[in-house]
Amino acid sequence: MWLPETDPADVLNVNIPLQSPQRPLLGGTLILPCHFEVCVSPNIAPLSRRIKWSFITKDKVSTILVALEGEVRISESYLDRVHLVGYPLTPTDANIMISELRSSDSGVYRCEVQHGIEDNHDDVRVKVQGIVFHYRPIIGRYMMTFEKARDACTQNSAVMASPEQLQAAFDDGYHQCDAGWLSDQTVRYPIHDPRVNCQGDKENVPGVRTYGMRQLNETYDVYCFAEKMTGRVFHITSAEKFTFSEAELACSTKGAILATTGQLYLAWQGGMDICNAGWLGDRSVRYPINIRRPQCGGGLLGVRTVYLHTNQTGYPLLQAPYDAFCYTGKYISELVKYF
Amino acid sequence: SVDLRECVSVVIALDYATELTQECVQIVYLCMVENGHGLSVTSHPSRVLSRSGGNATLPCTIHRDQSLAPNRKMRIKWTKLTFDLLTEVDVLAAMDYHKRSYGSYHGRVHLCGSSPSDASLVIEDITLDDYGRYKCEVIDGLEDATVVVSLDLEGVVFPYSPRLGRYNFNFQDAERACREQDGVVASPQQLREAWRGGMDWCNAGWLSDGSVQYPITSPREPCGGQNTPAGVRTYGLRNKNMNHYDVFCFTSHYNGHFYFLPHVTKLTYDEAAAACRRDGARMATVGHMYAAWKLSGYDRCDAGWLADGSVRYPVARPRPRCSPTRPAVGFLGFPDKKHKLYGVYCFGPGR
Repeated sequence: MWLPETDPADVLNVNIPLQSPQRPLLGGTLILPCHFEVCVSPNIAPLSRRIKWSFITKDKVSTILVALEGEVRISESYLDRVHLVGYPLTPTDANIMISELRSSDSGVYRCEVQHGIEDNHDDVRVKVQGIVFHYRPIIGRYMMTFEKARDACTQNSAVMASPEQLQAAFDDGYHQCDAGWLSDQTVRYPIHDPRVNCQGDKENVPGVRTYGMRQLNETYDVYCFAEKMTGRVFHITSAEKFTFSEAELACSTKGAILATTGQLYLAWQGGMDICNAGWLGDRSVRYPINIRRPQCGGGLLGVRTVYLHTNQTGYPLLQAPYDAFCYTGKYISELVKYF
Repeated sequence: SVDLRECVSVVIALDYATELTQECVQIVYLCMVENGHGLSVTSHPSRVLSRSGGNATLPCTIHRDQSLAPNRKMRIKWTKLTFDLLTEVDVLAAMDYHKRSYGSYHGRVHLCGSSPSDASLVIEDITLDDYGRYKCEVIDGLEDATVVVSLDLEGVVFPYSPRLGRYNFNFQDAERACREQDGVVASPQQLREAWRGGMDWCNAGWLSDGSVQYPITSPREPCGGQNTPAGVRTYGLRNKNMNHYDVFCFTSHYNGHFYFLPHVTKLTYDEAAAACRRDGARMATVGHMYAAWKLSGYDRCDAGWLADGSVRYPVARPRPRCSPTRPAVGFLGFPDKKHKLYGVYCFGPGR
């Protein structure tokens, strides 16, 4: 039987009332509202609409959850951290809450509602903001009290990371074999491959290890959290390279100052890729690698650090020749003019 | 009690009473431990070849697990994918006896429906715009599954630049130019296919995904270097408004008659246009000439006016003084329209 075909009117409206992009913080929680209205006879069972949330990146589309007739099916990879806020008690409530946000949750979220032959959808773009990084000062490994650790993060355009942020970084693949302070006064480190010889590691399961709450005067490294880039980080070089003080000078002639470690991490997250190590404001020497190649940091990705000693302590000598990473923002370029 | 972490997926089912209150909602966890889904769709072949004016059946077969509850209404939807992953064009939706087709597909598409598991799509009266990738989506309760099928068209890719000369089109100009030559902007796949067929062109042109490329079969210095391998060279995605290049157009079979107007060889452009009109036709476009040359082997060593003011001649059989080495459409540029020098190629209703 053929019923006459008609061109579709927009009988099903779906709307995510949010601006794109949303910028939630790493480790945080995000609520994505989705409203829909069906302009059909009101005696249709309210739960007969099928709600589907999916996550779209450049490479693929993956299902987050599907809800129909009061049943909700959540995909395995979202099982612990996504749920529908009001469904099915409110059958027209398609809002979802995503917790433990990771960097890899950045992408487009689609709310799709289907009822009979009709369907419609709306999208919202999400950019999870911030980065967790391990910080060890020039004086060596495990040398910072809680207070010194907090200051170290502040001096590097960051704050101490929370346990949620370190967990989110771990979920994104972050691995570091050094115990560091977190903002709740605990000391932890993220381990994916427990076979690596990490101190204090007794189990065979990957995860964030914790020493629990520690005394404020105990000393460790620290995990910092940098939220967002406010200015711009750029790389400069010269034929003879720079000593530390030459690097400071070279940045100021460009209307800039040496970047902090936190700023370089944010620049790396924004895609910066430089295969030459450069001075930073805290006298450390690092370089950001986004493209894997053997001659740059041994084929590893991330912000690579040049230590003075093979046991990964100490910073290079002040006379050592390196490039420089400078930072400029509106405020900085005003400031530098008066030097 | 089950460890939910062992489940492949978890269904949270709520017992629903007539009056909705907190008390009567009972949460039941149904653990789906079995791997995979109860529903899938497949497509064999996943690439279908047709031609403009022709028909095509895009295959899509539904496979349903016995464990799924029977007699559920399935919904079938076909969409056309675009280069933007977020945008799809609606083609057809069907559920039960309800069917709906959309936009330019209205009246040209229906489901094959040879059996309940057949979701194949039939497209009739195919146009150049129908070229591309189509998604078959089947929804069955909580389950859904999709498969993608490509619709390929027989045809020919040709480069185009306007009277003004090389590199004058932004992307919108390029789209309009192809349209005026009875074509569409070619896809990267179509240009690659043309390159495999021997196409060599040293001017970069827009493609439908917004990239700019050019095909080289004999590497030489001004075309990306002499010692480089042959291939389709690409500039990557370019700014569609700011950047200017030529364009590669694609055209397929046409419904009509392409011919060199007999008995007249020395006309101005205006005389040529009038001559075609007197013959019950109009001046042919560049797309008509390329389609006739490539798809029907049209061969003529006489230069003739075309509707865009260019003068060209199609050589299918290489010979001295025409195109000695290879089949080609010869190009004499855009001469002064007042020159009484050339014949004309016309395009009229089929004979």
